Amino acid sequence: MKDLKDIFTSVKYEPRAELATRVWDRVLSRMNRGRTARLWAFSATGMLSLVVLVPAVASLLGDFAKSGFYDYFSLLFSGAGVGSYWKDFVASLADSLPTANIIYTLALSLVFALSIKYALRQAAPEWLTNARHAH
Amino acid sequence: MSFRETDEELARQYKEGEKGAFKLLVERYTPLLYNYAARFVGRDNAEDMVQDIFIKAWRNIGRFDPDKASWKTWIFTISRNRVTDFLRKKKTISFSDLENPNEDITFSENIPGEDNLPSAELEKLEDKELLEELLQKLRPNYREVLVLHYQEDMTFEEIGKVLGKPLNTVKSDHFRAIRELRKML
Repeated sequence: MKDLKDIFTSVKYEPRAELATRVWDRVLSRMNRGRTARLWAFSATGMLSLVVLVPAVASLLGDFAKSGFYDYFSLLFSGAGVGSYWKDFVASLADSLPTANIIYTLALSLVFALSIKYALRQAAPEWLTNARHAH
Repeated sequence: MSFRETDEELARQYKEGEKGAFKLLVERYTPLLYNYAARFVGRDNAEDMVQDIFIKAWRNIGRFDPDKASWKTWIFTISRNRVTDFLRKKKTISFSDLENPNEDITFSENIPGEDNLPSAELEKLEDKELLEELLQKLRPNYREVLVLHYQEDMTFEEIGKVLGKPLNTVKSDHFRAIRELRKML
């Protein structure tokens, strides 16, 4: 005698054999679409940050020159020596740093580096996954 | 010796970047979800429904926490929500038909474990056409419990999580479903 489970199982609806493949293809196409969108977004952010980064670096180098940082720094190698004045020397050197511009340029560099990292991860996910698993 | 990874292990592997792990979950669960969906939205809509369920599961897999629920419970909860949305949009069924607000829940605490019907009635149910007909006639919330318990092999506790109902309410629905079946026979 069959029990209720056997009886109910006998009237289960079975899907067409290719349904799982069709479902997987659709999921895969969504994955690829998302990956392409992220690749474009990260690439665009990377390019944009690079475009802004180039003049920012030029401006930073100009600020270093204007602030006298190079002059202070060259004292280290001038032979005059900073010996007992080293505390004053370090304070003057730090004072001459264009801090705001340095922070701005570093932030841009970080955005650029992260954008490239994530863009590469979208472009070659299999390769990066394998490399990560190897570690 | 073959090694079969659990659903939860596959979900974890997918989260770690192994795309093929999700494919295995699709292969494992397509037949189960198809049967469940077909019971409520019809075979014509079931294929699209299964695809939608997996897309939703894939999008939300980051939120899946095996400590809170098994993969099976989690994906059937998604399925149940999709089916409910579908029925609500189609208005083929009142949303309240899937709920049971007026039933006496405390009554279920003393429900006997009636898993089976008398043998004469069981024999009648072996007629597949009759069983199909009776299942379609059952209230959706009763049909749901029977399908999940007997066809999808879920415990009452798992069903409770999927339906968002207390264990006793699920047992009560199961008892009433069996009683309805007997009446119809």
